Amino acid sequence: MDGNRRYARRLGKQGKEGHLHGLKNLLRVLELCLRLRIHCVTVYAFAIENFNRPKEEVDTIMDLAEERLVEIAQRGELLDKHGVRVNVLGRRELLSKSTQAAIEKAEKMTRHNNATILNICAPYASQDEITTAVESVIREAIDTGNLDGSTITQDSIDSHLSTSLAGSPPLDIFVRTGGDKRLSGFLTWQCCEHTQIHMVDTPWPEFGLFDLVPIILEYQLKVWYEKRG
Amino acid sequence: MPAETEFLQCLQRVAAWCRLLGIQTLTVFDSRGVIYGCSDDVYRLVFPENETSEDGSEPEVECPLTPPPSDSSGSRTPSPEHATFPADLNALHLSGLRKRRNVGVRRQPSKGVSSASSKLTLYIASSASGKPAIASASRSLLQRCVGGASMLDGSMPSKFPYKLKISELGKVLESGLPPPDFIIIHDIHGMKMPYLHPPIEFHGFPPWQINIAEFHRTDPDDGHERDPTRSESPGTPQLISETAFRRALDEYSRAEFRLGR
Repeated sequence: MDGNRRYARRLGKQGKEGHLHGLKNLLRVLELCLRLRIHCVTVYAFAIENFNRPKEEVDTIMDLAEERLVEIAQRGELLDKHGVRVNVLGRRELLSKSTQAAIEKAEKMTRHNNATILNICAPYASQDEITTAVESVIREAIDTGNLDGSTITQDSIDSHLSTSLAGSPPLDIFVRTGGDKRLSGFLTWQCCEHTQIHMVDTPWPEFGLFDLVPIILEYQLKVWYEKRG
Repeated sequence: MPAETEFLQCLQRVAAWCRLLGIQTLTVFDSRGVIYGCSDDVYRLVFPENETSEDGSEPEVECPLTPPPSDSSGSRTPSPEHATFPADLNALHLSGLRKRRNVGVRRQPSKGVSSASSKLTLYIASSASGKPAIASASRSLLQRCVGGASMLDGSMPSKFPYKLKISELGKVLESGLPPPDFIIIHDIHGMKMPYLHPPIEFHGFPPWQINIAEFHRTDPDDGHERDPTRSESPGTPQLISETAFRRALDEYSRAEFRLGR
């Protein structure tokens, strides 16, 4: 979800105001995905490195996140209707107590849903996620006495990633908005093999149906070609 | 093997351009391991014989790290700074040194020859350098932990909750394959699907190293050349052109790196 600040500056507004537009668009795009029967959506809301930003901007983002998570928790019926389960992935201990509480409430209210998964990565970084997964498999090997390392494999590391622990399926499509062509530490393990990577110039607050449909069609074409052999 | 030939030709071109531009580190991603077993051929192409060092020393070729013999000594004190990690990182490291030419009478370097010493270090990675390497590094870290804990006071490793820092894992993985700043993606065999710009796929590129790398895919309209010995038809391999390489670097020079800010 990149491009919020540049979008705001283009409108002559302060960069941090773009985050409000970005958040509104998240709800719009999520609804699009629900209508398109997309089972799992993972969004990069905040990177661990984003704490390097000016304090005022970080506080704005945290306040917005807390408000929306409270809103999500309060709209339990709407999420229930679509069967959305909300997971917040990453180092939540770096967030304020009140934001952590809002996260726990939103997750608890939607835990029983299974039709659609919404993963909100905040604050998150791929190398942190991979390191945590490696730490977990090593700890598990020690705890179970498997000291020869035979239980440490690609698959066991994969199963300890935060996305896997949240029940997410393999990643089919990766989209970065805003024009930059890099992963910036987002889902690098998950997307480094057969995931289709799309880098679009549209800033996140403007990303919509006309951007999403060609991406979905590309994926369907790939599946069709693979079935054809 | 046709795939190997075109790959080596592209590699030779790109290596030569890198050296002209003073780029000191080049990583080649060979997803299927086509040239991984051809280190001698690669070395001859990338570091031509007349570029070897004048002192006659052998050029540096580092083979993939392999597990050392088991160490039964109990006297070694574990130390992150000094421990060697017997992780199979599945990446090949080649380097050669171009010595300074005697150019006392020349004011401009001649075409293709740099007037300054330039050392190009080449890494060859494959999909085995990615997730499998992380798994191998993890097993090595387990061995280090087990060895360390049992040596210190005789207690079992499980008494110490294992903690791993990002920097520690990064040191292991990046020692064998440093992260590139910029990745150029070139489809040697052209686009398989009947349209020009399908989405990118990374085919197992090391996930740790791709973390913040900028990437660029060459354009089919960039005047890529076909092997003149092969007939032209859809699917004929396309060698990367200098135009495409320059365009990629131009795009990289315009990239904005915010590093989270």
